[in-house]
Amino acid sequence: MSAGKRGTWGRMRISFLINSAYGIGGTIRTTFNLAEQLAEQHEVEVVSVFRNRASPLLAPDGNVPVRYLVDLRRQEATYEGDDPEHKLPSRCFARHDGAYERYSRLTDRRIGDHLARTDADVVIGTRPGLNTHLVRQTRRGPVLLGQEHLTYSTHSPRLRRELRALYPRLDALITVTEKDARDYRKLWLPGVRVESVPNSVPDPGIEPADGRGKWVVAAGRLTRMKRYDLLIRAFAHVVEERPDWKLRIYGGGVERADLRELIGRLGLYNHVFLMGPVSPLEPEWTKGAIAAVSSSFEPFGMTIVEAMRAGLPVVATDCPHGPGEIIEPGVNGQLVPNGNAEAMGAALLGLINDDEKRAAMGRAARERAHRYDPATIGERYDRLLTELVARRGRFRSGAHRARGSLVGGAYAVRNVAGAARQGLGYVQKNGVRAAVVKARTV
Amino acid sequence: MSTSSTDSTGTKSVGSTGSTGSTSTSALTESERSTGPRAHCVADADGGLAFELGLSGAAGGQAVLLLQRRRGRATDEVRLPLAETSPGRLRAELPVDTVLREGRWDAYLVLGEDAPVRMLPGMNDLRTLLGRVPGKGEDHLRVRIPYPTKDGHLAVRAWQRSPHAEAGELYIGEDRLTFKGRLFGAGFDDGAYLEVDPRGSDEPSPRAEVVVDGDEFTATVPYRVLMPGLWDLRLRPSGARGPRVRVGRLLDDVADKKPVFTYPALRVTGEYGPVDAEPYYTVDNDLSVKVTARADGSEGS
Repeated sequence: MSAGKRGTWGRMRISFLINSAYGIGGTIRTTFNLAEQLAEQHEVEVVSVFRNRASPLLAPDGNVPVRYLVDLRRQEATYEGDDPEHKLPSRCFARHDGAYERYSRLTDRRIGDHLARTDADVVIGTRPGLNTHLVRQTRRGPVLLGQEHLTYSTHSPRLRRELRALYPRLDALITVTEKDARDYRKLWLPGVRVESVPNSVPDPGIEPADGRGKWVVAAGRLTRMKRYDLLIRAFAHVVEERPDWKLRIYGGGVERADLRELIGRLGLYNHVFLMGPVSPLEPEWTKGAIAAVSSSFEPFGMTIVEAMRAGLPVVATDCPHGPGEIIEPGVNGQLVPNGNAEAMGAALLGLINDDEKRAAMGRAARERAHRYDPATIGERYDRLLTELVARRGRFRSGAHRARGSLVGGAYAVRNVAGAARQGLGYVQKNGVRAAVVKARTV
Repeated sequence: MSTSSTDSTGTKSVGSTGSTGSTSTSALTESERSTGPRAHCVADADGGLAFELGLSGAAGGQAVLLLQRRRGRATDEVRLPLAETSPGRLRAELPVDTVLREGRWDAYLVLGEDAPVRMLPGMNDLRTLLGRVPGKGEDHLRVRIPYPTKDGHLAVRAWQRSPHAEAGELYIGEDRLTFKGRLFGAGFDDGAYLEVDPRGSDEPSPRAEVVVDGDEFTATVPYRVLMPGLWDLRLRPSGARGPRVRVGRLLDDVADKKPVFTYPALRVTGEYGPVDAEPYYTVDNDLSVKVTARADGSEGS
């Protein structure tokens, strides 16, 4: 970020820290959406820990620069995956965040260098492990905002313990659903603002669906959590009654071979298609008439809002946490019991067999989705960040941070034995005790 | 803040794909973002394709959209004028009757005397390609599907066929493949059949049965007579003397059928022993059958 713009009234420097800005996924998409929006008023950058592609797939044309810290493109001379430091386990990334294995002493150093030097007024972490980097490595000064794109209730008890110890040192924790914010408020995080702000989804910028195409559309990574097996079984019920309707599932992932096999076994190869990963996704919704979400768990449900913006009613499982906070059953979609293929098939048929209801719900979906407009969501963030920066300015002494550290310290003491054991392991192997101790007490 | 002319900055970034970041050890390297001009493609119901792009500050009348066939001859080039539809908005039309040889055509923006710049894909509106029924009056069936290339640029796949046999639904059962299709640009006569051609071989082509209904047909390929190898399907609508029409699937919005339209393999034991047989779409979106000898030699169920 260039210096010298600070004098502009109300202008902040905002720096996002993300696992990778180069893939496809809800967190990446929503980070770029928000970053683009905030960039209209502020100086914004996205810092990607890893780079695994030439350019970010989801980055819109615009004003948000993207930087990376570690190059993992195997075909490039700049590949850093073989760096010996990258073989050593991380000390700053939350040990029990599911992505821990991807992080290392190398990422500790690169992220640490970045956070120690950043000239940002606000630093935003986008997953638990990165939020712990924020509190451990950021220089004094910037507002620390942790985002939770997953949910507290699905974190392991060990991760929860880590977060309880470290999150008191955040200035704010932002969840994507109100339910999740309530869960975090039950922790003792004194001085930390805990709020829910949903993800933003921009207007697709092309004509909305006219609802006449006989397609059901789903999109997401092909993982177990998305339960596309359930959706395919549900669609077998649909095809029995309405063989003129078809299903497209966009996305790639580990379940692809199994899902293909299931489609073949159920004889649905003329009706159900695995489309592979597609970007941009927006035009694909507009070819459909109904969107389907079969997940057993959706921290938010980006695809639900994206489909609604394109004018599709959404049939979704009533899984924790997102769908129930977005869909108004009977108005802009339907909620069906989690894990029930027959109920999902019936709900799809209900919309397939009623053109008028489907069209009305599609219109309602579009209207409802306005509340997720980047302008609206950006404004909420803007207000929040402005207040946090002002508060930080008033308490330059860092009273809150100090208090937070003490609270965190109290929790941390309980984990000291375990942490020391882990730390000692490195000490014996590498003889760098001083470094271990320093990292743990930052 | 930079201005909204990011589109046009792409003219400078051609070829600068190398790592240009700072040489400091901090590893905080600027990412070279693709900032080429982005085109939104809109397909119309008649088979035409429009390219729309935002380009502030472009010299009006000087902008051309260039389509160049990959691995093509120098003549495999189509230049479409980009007209300003509103300030900063340009539009080029590719009418359905423009001749584009079958293949992959890369899209470039040419501004005045500048070197061509690869275009980036935008929000394509291709819904009219789904379930498109080409007009009877067209001399050739012409299909154009815009798609993003592997390296993230805009290209157009083109087909131009006459006649053409469009594959519809496939049914895999017992020991055979049955599929529905539709013939464009020719009529059926007595003696219509399906030729099952062994690829890259002079062996005779077995004939498969075809049932005709107007311009639609149903063909049945018995797997038992096929030896291990690849088999291409060609319709002979008026018998051995008439045209040979490759069976393919072109009439939708999917540029590459192969990974999307996939079908289960059948285990059959026929004239060449136990084999696995499955239909698939080739890289050109034509329908073929792959027969593989089963290594374990086990009998089909």
